[in-house]
Parts: sequence; C-alpha cells; structure tokens
Amino acid sequence: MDHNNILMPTEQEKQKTITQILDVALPHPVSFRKELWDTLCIAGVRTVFCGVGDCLALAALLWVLCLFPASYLANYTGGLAQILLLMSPLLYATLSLMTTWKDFQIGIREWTWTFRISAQTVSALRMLCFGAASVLVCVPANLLLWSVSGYLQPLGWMLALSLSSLFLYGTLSLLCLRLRGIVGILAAPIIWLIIGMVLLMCPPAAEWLNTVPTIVFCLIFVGTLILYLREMRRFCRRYIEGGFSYALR
Amino acid sequence: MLSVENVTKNYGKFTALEDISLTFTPGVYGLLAPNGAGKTTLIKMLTTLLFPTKGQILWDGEDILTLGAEYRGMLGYLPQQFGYYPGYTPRQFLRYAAALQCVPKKEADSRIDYLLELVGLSDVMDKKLKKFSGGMLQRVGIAVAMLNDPKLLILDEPTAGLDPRERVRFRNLIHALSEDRIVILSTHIVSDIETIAGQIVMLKDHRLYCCDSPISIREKFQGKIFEVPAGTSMGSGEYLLSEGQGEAGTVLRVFSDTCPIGGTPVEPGLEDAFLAIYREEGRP
Repeated sequence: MDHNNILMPTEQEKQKTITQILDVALPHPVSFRKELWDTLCIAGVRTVFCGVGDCLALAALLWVLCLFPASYLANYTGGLAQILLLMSPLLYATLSLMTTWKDFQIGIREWTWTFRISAQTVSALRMLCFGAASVLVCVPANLLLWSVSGYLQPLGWMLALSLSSLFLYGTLSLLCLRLRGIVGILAAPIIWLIIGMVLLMCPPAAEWLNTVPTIVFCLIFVGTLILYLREMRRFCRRYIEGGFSYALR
Repeated sequence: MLSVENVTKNYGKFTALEDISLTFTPGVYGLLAPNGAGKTTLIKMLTTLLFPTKGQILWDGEDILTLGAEYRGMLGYLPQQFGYYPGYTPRQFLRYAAALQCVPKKEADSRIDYLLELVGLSDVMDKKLKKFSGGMLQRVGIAVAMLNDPKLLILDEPTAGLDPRERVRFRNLIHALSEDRIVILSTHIVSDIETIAGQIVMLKDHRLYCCDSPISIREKFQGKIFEVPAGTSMGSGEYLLSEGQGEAGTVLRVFSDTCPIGGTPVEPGLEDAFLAIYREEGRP
C-alpha cells in the first residue's frame, strides 16, 4: 500500500455519507396522528378498552337515563339551551371519569405507566373514542330534544351549541389534567356543573345564550376542536409523573 | 448498565432521597431499608414513575426519561400493590400486558405459556384472578413483569403477604430469572434477600448507606455481636438487637464494640447488621 498516495473520497461522496449517517442516527419526527394510529394498530381496540367494559355500559346507561329529565326540562321549562350545554358533554365526562376511577380503584393505573405503550397515549385514544361516540349520540339526542321542545330552535343551532359545548368541555378537561392528582381529574366536571347551575338559575344568562347565532357556535366548535387536539398532543408528549399519587399518600 | 447519578428527590420541602449514586450491572440487588427510608421513591424513579429533582438516571449512558418507551420496553416491574382486573384469567391479563408492551401476538402466546409454567400457574391459567390467593397473584405479577424478557427487572416488596413456602418458591424463581439481567428487589424482610442478592443497597437518613455484598456487610460486624442471657441489662454502648432461643433458653443478641459481661461472641447475620445499622430508627 502506497501511504503517500491514499485515495480520498470526493466532496460529493463525503456529503452523501454524512447525509446517510445523519439519516440513520437522527430520530425522525413522527406526527401525533401517526403515533396514535400506530399505537392503535399495535395494541388494538380491545387493549385500549381492556377491563373497562362495565364503565362503558354504565356511562351509556346513565346518559340514556339523563335524557328523560332533560326532555322534561326542555319541554316544560323552556331551558333548551342550558340543557344542551349541560347534557352534551355528559357521555364524554362520565366515560372519562368512570374509566379513570376504575383504573385507580383496582390499582392498575400507576402500573400501566411503566409499559412501552405509554398510559398517556392509551388515555388519549380512549378520549378520542369517547369524543367520537359523544358526537355520534349528539345527533339523536338533539333530534329528541328538538321534537319535545316543539321545534322551538333550529336543529342546526342546537347541533352547533351541542358540539361547541362538548369540545369546550373536552378542552377544559385536558387543561385541568395539567393539575396533579385527583384535582386535575375532578376539576373539569365540577367547573362544568357550576356553569350549568348558574345558567339554570340565572334566566338573563339563559336568555342571552338563546340569542347567540349559529355561526358563533360553529366558530366556537371549530376553535375548541383545534384546541382540544392540540392540548391532547401536549398531554401525550408531556413528561408526567405517573407515581405522584404515591407521593401524595 | 444502569447508573443513578447524584439523584435527589424532594416532595415540596421534604427530601425523600438525597444525593444517591449507584451503578447496577447484571445480577441481583437487594434494596434494604426500613419503611419510609425512600426505597419505593427510588424504585419509582427507576421505573420513570417519578422524576429526580436533581441528578439523573442513565441506561447505557442515556437518560431514561429521554429514552422513554425504549427504556420502558426493557423494563419489567412488579409494584408493591399489584392491581389486576378480577374478572380476567391470568392468560387474558398477560395478553393485555403483552399488548401494552408491544410483544407480537404469536410470540406473546408462547411466552405466556412458558411463564405461567415457570411460575407454576399453568394449571389455573383459565381460572379468574378473583379466585387467586395473594401468593398466586404475586406470581401472576412476576409473570407480567417477565413478559418482555426484560433487561431490568424491578420488584417492589415482592414477598409481602406470601407464606414461607411461597417465599422459598419465589426466591428460587428469582435465582432462575437473574441470569444476564439486572434484578432489583426492594424489601424490608432481610431473609428474603440474604440468600439471593449479590449486592445489597442500604439507605439511611434518606442517603445511600452502602452498596456491598451480604458477606462484606456481615464482616463489618464481626466481633461486635454477642449473645447474653435473657434479663441482662444493657450497659452503655450496648444495643439490644433481638431475642432468640438458645440452648440454655431465651437469649438476647446485643451489638457492642466490647464483649458485655456474660456475653458470648456470635457470628453476625445480615439481620443483626440490619438491626445494628438502623438501631436508632423507629425509637421514641
């Protein structure tokens, strides 16, 4: 071998090699949507909802039972807007609360944080499914309330109000999850109940709600939906101490 | 290799652990300390359930929090209180855990069969978990922790609630599983780890007291443990460790730098060392 005449790579070859090395070594950013989809494909729907079938059934039953007083109130008190505002996130809230409560109650919640598939991603998938289910049931519920209220308000207005209410609650609950422990879980339903009670007991506020045009609710719906998804991504990618309940004890 | 580098954990103003530095290589480690010394806090930091306030924990030189899912994929963890879905069978529950650990389905099924056989539950793999005894559930927990053939196995108080026969069985199981992996066992039951741990990590006053072999720890107390007849009063510098039955009736085991009057030097056990090290803790 001639040490004075070593073949050196060309500039182009050097650049190509550097690009290849960087391509292999550097992590490729994965979109949130792809991350969730991949997780769902690997784990499967059954894993995401493992052990919480009873919670799903109970939440659905509770939602159906709440339709009766809601129909009554919409028919006889004329409080359709308030009922819609309170009722729309009910299924989402009960599903989220019951599944979380069960995981806490049987002592499985903390343990699931130590698996390859993060508990945050599983929670996010559950929340998205709960959101989708709530949107689906929103249509028949609105139709029912629309008919019992004597077609008082346009159906489009009712749907827009329902969806804004649902995603406003969803965003609020995700924001509250920034708080640690049980406070973060219970804060959103408590705030929502207080808002609902104030509207039910304060006729001027309820009247004002009736005057809000459909387009405003549509804008709120789109805005809160974007916020909801962004906050969910933040929730999944944030470092959260899963064992904090231990520390609190 | 797992390295704990100058880790401190504070809960508000309370310091649960202060400036802990440890290095774990394949083998069995016993984490031994009285209740409240910070064992579970350390375990929870090793499992990424809690984050260090100061310092860092590294796996092969990389921060375990940055590694995230990759690190958790190498980890097997049995918590102090093992939660489970009572309506599930061990097979169903292990399938659920395998899915969360991203073990492919076919591979998972054969691994589940192997592990249930290993922990002696293959006969009851289709029986519901609600009908299981504490020892059986603990064995299910061990099988779950072993599902992904972890490089790091962390067991928090794994023998709590087990009867003596199950504890022996558990010790044998850990022996069988400890090849080529780091096993960290947290306990305050000395006899559980005396026989199986190659290294014992002791915490005192929320700091690392020692990380040494059981023999070395015992040797430190050579010539300092004595037996005296029951009823002997303790002199200054003498600490009563335990009571036991000798050939001549009840005897007291005493820790002292010099031989007490009427005392006989005895071979120190790990329990003597443990009691001597923590002699001031828990006293009014």
